[in-house]
Amino acid sequence: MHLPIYEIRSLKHSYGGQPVLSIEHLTVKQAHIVGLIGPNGSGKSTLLRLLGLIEKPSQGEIIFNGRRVEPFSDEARFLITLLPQEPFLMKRSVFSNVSYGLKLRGNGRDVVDKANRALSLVGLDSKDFARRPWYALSGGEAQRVALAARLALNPKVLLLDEPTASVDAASAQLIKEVTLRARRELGTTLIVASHDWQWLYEICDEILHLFKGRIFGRGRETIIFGPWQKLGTGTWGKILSDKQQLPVPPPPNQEAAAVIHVLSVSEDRSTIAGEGIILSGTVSRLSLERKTGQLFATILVGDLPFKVGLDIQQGKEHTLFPGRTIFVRYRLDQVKWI
Amino acid sequence: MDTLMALPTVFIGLLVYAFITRRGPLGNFGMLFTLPGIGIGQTILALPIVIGLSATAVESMDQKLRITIMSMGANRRQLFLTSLWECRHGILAGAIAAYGRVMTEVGISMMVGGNIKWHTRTITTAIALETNKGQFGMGVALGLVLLAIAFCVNLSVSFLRRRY
Repeated sequence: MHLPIYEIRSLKHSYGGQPVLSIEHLTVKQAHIVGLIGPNGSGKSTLLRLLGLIEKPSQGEIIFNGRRVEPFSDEARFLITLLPQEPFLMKRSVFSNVSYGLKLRGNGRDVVDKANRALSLVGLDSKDFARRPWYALSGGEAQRVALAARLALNPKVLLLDEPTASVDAASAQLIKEVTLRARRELGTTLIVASHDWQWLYEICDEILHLFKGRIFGRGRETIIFGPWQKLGTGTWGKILSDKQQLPVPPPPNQEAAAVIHVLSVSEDRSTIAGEGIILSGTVSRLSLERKTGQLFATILVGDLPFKVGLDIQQGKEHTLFPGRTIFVRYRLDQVKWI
Repeated sequence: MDTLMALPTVFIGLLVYAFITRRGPLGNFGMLFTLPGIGIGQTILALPIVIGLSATAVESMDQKLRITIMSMGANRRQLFLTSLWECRHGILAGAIAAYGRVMTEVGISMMVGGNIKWHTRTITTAIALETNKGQFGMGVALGLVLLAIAFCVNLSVSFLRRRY
């Protein structure tokens, strides 16, 4: 049996006494693609920095390949690499940026070949780009150079922090393709934080949902943020933009977030099976989860995106397509608060 | 450190004079009216500028630089050396500022060096002397030499900056 590449035990991390991350136990399998989903400030980048051995956790331990590791650990520093969200290059030429990590590893002879190969992987011609200084690049090019610098290292683990957030569509597409190729050809484990849910659902073996520094689900949950108000009927909830009422059980506080699990969907309110709250919405996005072969639908109820996983047969039965009006059902007693 | 960066040169001259004069604590070394004596005073003048501006350059380094260097697999020593190299322009700016201040100061050279011809006379003390003697032409000429040196130094530095 393969050892998990990462194991996290009782990890807690805080900045200035303010807790930002708390994970009791987490394992990541070798050569898996793990997606991290969560709103800004949920701890995704912190988790990546801890896994990338940039920072030491305040408490708890990170086991990499069966060994406890921390920043500068010789067992891991040449095997893990992190691509931060905003492209950052050192004040030197493109070639020097890409070859920096190779030189640290003492790869003296074929540095030029490896760096040129990495540049061509990310779609940059080394003849044009290798000698360019760091400031003579667009945002997308800088991000691609930064990615090339990581890919040149043939890492065992590649951590990507919103790799496509600050680049144009073409660069984003290229970055997506190249990272998947690294996993396919080199067996690289990928851990990706992104707001591009659709992409993550397509490529990931596992998705972790982070909120307020905790992992609370596998990404199928619909999260509705506060504030909450008392509805006319005396129950708590929200009045949506289309005037529908979204009831919830009494929240622990005004700003708590509700996790709603959609039980079923139907194109007709009268035929929806089972008890619970029924709301009408519009299918806004439909994507295929390659790993499970399931459909993943985003249904806008008012302005709130509800997430629903369906098998293909159900998709056919409900004739789901974007723009379709559909009813979703959830139960109050299954709403959780975080 | 900021206060030390603005120390008046005559005050440094006075302090160094007090220490290295025959009756001072370092009087035995016989450094008064010598080039090493001027060197000590000018080091005291330059050091706070170099330290202050280098510290500013290091402090203003982007946190992302540290993440980038560490994510490439650097150890502590490599992180330190690469970070230093990355803020080379700021450190160089500090060195240039200090050099400019040292080149143009009069107080220390005059008080500690004594303006002795062929021995401790510097261009600035020479200009002061020539002006006192009424030799304005000579003073201006020496001033132009000083200006030319400063220009050459800045030119070389800007070339180096572009190169590296």
